Amino acid sequence: MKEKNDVWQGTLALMVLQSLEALGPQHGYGIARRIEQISEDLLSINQGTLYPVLLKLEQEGAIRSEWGVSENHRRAKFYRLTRAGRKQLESDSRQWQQTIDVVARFLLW
Amino acid sequence: MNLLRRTWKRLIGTFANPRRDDEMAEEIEAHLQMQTEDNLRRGMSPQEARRAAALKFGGIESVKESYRDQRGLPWVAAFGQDVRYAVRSMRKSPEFAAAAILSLALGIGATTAIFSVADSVLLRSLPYAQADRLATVSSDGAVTAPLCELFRREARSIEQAALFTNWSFNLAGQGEPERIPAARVSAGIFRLLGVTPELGRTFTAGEDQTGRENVVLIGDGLWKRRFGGDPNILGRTLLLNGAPHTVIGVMPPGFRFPEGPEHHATVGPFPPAEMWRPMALLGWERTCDQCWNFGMLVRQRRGVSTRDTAAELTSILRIHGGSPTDVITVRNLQDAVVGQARTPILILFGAVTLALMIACLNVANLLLARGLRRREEIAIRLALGATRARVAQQGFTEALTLAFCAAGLALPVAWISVRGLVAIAPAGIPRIAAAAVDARMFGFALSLALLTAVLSGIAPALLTARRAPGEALKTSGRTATAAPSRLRATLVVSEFALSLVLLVGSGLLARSFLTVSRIPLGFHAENVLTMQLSLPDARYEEHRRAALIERLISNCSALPGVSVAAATSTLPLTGESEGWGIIAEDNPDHEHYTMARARAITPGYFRALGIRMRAGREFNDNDRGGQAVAILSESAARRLWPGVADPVGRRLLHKPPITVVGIVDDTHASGVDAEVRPYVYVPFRQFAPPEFAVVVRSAASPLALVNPVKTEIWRIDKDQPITHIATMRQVVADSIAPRRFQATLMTLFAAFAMVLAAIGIYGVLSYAVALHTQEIGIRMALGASRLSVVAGVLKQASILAIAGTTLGLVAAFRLAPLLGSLLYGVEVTDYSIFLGCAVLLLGVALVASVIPARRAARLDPIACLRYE
Repeated sequence: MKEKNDVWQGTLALMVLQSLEALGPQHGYGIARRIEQISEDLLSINQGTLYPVLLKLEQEGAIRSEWGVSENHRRAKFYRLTRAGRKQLESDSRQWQQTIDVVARFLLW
Repeated sequence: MNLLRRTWKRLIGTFANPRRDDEMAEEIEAHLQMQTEDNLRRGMSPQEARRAAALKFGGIESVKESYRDQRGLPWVAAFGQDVRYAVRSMRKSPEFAAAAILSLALGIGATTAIFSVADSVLLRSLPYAQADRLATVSSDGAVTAPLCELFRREARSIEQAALFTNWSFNLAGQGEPERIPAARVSAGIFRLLGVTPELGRTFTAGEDQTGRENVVLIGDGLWKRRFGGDPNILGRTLLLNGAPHTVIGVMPPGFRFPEGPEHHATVGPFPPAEMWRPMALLGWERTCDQCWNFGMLVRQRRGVSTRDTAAELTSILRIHGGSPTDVITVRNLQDAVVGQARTPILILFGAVTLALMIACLNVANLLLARGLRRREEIAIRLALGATRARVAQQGFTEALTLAFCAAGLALPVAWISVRGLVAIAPAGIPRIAAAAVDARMFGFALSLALLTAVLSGIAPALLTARRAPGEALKTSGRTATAAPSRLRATLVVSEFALSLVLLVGSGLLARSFLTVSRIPLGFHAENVLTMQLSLPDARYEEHRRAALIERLISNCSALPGVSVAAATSTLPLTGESEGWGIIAEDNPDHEHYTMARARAITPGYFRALGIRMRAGREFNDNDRGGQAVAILSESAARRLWPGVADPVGRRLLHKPPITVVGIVDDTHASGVDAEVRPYVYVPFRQFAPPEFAVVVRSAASPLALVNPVKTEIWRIDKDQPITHIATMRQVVADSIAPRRFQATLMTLFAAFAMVLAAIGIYGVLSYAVALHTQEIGIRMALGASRLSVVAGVLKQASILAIAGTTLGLVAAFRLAPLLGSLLYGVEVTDYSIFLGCAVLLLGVALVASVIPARRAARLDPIACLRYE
């Protein structure tokens, strides 16, 4: 499968980073749940698409993973924000904010 | 930065262990379970909960695949897969792999080797300051001291001039007595060349005066070998030719002067000098205008060409009493050093390049053949959704694998070939010892091979993919389209054409070599043992030397098994003795002296070498002191006294006059294939040279006499170095070694090319037969005889071979003149050789096509029709 939708992946990545920032170390399912809750099911994504994004972020060094035990005593892989990830979150949110501002101006005019 | 880091991780991920797949599965499973549990809590039934979880997750397999693709670099993984596939398929058809790899490896290796030698000998410029202004000056190979002085004084085109001549020293004291090749040089020659010593100083202006000349510079090699690189060598006294000499300097490594066959006062291969001594001209040398003993080196003024200098020097010579036919030759030093080595090396380089091209054609042919056989497979893969790029990538990888195997093999081949070339190269190719595998050339040959392999590896994929897969599938196997087979036919035709060019070249060179080796030499080389000795001035005065040689020869003659023993100042074919301008006493035309080469000999010399007396007598023991006598070679006598039937008894103009007592046959003493030169022989008793050769004719094997003769020599002088021990037959063989070398290499290349051409045509025909199996079966079922089937295959073979050979004949006809200067006794358009080579090549084609033809003839019609 090609990485056909970079914008979508980028957006999803930002959501993942933001979730990890808010929740602390979390497994994939937890992240997926949070994204659903926040977006109030406006975003109907296949949860599976999350995993390639997680892998990409990990390869970029924004997050780190380790095996741990979930709240229901289930073995799960936990992701944690790294310092580089925090920086990336900051700059990405800033960029998004700017984009939103600009687009908002156009739409309001 | 992120991209780089990610690519790196992915690269690692490509090769990471397969447990990662399990981890991913576990992670996904955990996710599904948690979702299922949540769903259960919301009140779903277990099955429903699981199903909903799976739905929400999306396609598990597609996530896994996308995860896998992202984890590694898919094309890298595919590459690894392709390499494994390539290796497997090479193992499955080893003869194909061997043919392709070997032909490439040999092609690349040989080209690199020859180029490395060419680079070392021809291309690297001389290590002198502004070397392009350096030139040698000579009249027929040498100059006299007065002539040099005249030029130095009068010529405006030259800035500095120096004389040099070969010399050798017997180095005694510590260790074995050793004969060191050396040179006498004008004191200013190092300044002229622009070189500085590694240690110490060069000669000062005063050191070329008699009495002050006992100083030497030594070469780096000698310094390290004999003196262990002793830094305190300066000021040390060496006993050279029995006289003390002071070492004043060490020349840097790689300093070689004089160098090259054309570069010596005397003709013939000399080992490079390892010692230099200032040239203090003796009184007679200074004034003797018939003593053509010196080489002359000049530095031309800036902007002056060798042609300008030659014109000026020639006119100076003619004004100052030279004859109007005198010509001065000026050669750029680089040309002079490289000399006759240039043409053969360039020719060999051209030949080996042709061989490399044939190797590439052949590999292209083999790869195409195999690729085409896989059309069906490719078509299926395309139909199943493989991209063209992916299929091409596989072809590319296979080709690359092949080329890299070849490269791995080519490097040792190149290395061994260079060492081999250096070892078997005839003496006298300057600077060849410095040859080492040249990385640039190896790179070039390798890229050529890679390009060939890659192009022919991708081609089948592209050719197949050009059309719709379905069509390829339908036509697969049985009826090949015309395009690829026409391409392959073209390759085979080119292989044949190039092979014929090489064959003709090797034929011409081999014929020349055979012609030369059959030239009657004027002497008999069988059963003759020779060795060379040196009795330097300082240890032996001339009369003592003559007495010593006489005693040595008479002792040797008494040895059992010796029929005649003699000595000569210069052995035939080992160099040229000094020139004498001889003039008939009764025809004193000073303007037209005859240039003859002088040889001092002992009485038995003509019998020892089997040279026939034509008139008069040999020297005998009475030819001493009193009357000066000489024996002339036939051509010398004819030039001095044209038309005189028997010149014996006439005299040469000299003080005192020299009486001619005999005439002998001409000999090819200055070179087997050189023009016959006039010789004047004088008795040892009247002129005993410091260096001479012992010539012993034996009744049986001459090598059995080596030790007895050595013992005799050492019994007379235990410090006497003996060099160049060889049978006369060996001496003759060595003198025509360059021709043998050229002919051998060319024949090797031609043979290599011919084998490749045979493989090429065999491949094409086998493929054709395999392709047309069904058609052949139908024809046979309809009543075609086996003979006509065979004829059909052979017809294809002959069309290819004849087309290639014809093209080759045309090309060879155009290229053969390049060989002109290397040939002897054979025309560059020798039809018998051209036709012979064409017939040979056609014969090879026929033999190569017999196997496929037989295979076609033995086909069982029934089996054929079922053949898929």
